[in-house]
Amino acid sequence: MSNPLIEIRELSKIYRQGDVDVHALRGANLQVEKGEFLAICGASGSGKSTLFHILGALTPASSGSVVVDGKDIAQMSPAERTIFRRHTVGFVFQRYNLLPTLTAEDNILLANFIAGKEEKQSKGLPAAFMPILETLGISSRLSHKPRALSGGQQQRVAIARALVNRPAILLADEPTGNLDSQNAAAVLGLLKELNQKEGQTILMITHDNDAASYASRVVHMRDGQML
Amino acid sequence: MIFTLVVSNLTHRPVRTALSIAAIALEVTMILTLVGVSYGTLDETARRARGVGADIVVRPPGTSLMGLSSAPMHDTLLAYVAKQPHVALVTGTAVQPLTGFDSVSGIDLDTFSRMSGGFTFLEGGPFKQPNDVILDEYYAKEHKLHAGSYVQLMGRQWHVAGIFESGKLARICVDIKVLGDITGNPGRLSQIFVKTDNPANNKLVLQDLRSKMKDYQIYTMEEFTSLLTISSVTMLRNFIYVVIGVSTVVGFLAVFMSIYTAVLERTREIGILKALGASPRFIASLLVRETLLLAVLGTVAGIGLTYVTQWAIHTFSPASLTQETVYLWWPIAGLIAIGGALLGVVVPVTKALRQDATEAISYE
Repeated sequence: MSNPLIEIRELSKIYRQGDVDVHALRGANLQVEKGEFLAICGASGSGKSTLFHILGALTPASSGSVVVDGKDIAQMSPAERTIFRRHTVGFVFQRYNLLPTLTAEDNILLANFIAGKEEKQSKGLPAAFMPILETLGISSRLSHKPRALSGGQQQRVAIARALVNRPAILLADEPTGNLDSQNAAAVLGLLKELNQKEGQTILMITHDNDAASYASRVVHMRDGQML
Repeated sequence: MIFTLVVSNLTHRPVRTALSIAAIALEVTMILTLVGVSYGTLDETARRARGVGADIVVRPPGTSLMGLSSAPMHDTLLAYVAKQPHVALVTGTAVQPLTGFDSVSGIDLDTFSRMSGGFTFLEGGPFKQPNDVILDEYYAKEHKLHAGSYVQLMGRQWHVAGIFESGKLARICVDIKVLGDITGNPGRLSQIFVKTDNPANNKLVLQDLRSKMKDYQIYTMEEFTSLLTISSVTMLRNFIYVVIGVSTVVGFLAVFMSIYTAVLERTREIGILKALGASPRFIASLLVRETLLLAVLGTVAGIGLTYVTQWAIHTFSPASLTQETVYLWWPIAGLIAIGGALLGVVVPVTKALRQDATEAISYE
């Protein structure tokens, strides 16, 4: 792996909880190639969610480096991390995290708007994005608000929102954690299809080995380190 | 898109939005009603003063513009003023304050009618007996009185001889001699109204009276009515400032509570926005726009409510209070409401911006 898309070196994260220091990450190392579908597996408390938050520039690392496409997130200012989140990563959360006040389409458009890419002429989703919506099977549900969608449909909308700005990395944190097995299999199948058809780089956090089996590579974490 | 987000956030929580708008509307209504009543009462006083038909008014030394709590001038002054050059007619009135804003005016019906052109009676006619009183239409309406009714004033029962069209000095008029006897202040006047032989001589008569009756407050009616403004009545002006201050605090607290609880409720949503790459400016702008929309809607609702208070005052208390629509104060009240609202959003915005994105996203 000569030019990895993501290169994590000696990454540490220490949280302060009351008077106690909690070492969530203890010198983690990882490299991810462009176009990979990587599953990061581990039990609760293994540090995988912390890794997810640092990779997504939601929280800074305590030490070490996270280089994404040649840029070290650890060295970024808060404003630079905001721009990084806007353009480089797309998040898919276990609890979907759609805005309940907006329709599915507006949830997707919001990400587009924040990135400054909202289609001014058509006032709708970019035409080039339509095939992905077709793949996700939500074209007919765009005018509905989240409460009118099933869990599986909400997660598909969340995936669409994460991809609308064509991010370099799709970060998925337990994306099937709230879904039944049928919907979980469908969502995982979609992620695999997006990876294979669109070449989308995907990092998926999971504690479920079945879910991890959809990935092209699986790494395991324990006590804040890669095994 | 941001407008969609703002509107959807407000419509998603209709009760809180409605309460916030209502609180801001209350703030605006309080300001506009107070200002409207102040302007209305002063303008009504000026209108009724003009209705006397005088050119000049002579008032006792040391009296305030709005109040005449006694009748300190001797009625021999009437004859003195009447014999001055270019004075065509004089009439004196006495004022006896009642409870609240009401007062009884004692008039000499003959000279007063000649000066003012006479009362236009809607019911009954002028007073003839010592216990007769005449009332203006608004006082009669407020107290549900008609010609032939009886009314209790100054500890005695009066027969309502007539109801007259409003606009002639006072709302309650009795014979000036009767009033003087009842109040134990016979032969005394509160003010003297002067009619000149020619309006062109008004200034001349004014200067003459001022030179001869030093310390007395002597004005042309034009001067006198122009003095009846909020800025010249210090107590009223200060009262308005106090109400504006209280109203602003009400608006500030309403918006503060509304947006603060909105920020708490939407902790996760703000976290989501941050995860999507929303800048602090975007999030602040979102909350400020929501606040501005609340303030604008509250201002519009408050202006609408002002018409309701105007109707209520006109219907239930037409004699005591008069409320005008003061358009000039619409933008002022709106700016005060928006200013208070923007102050109220500062802390919630700061809290929203300081929220940790990772904690916000996992917030239950």
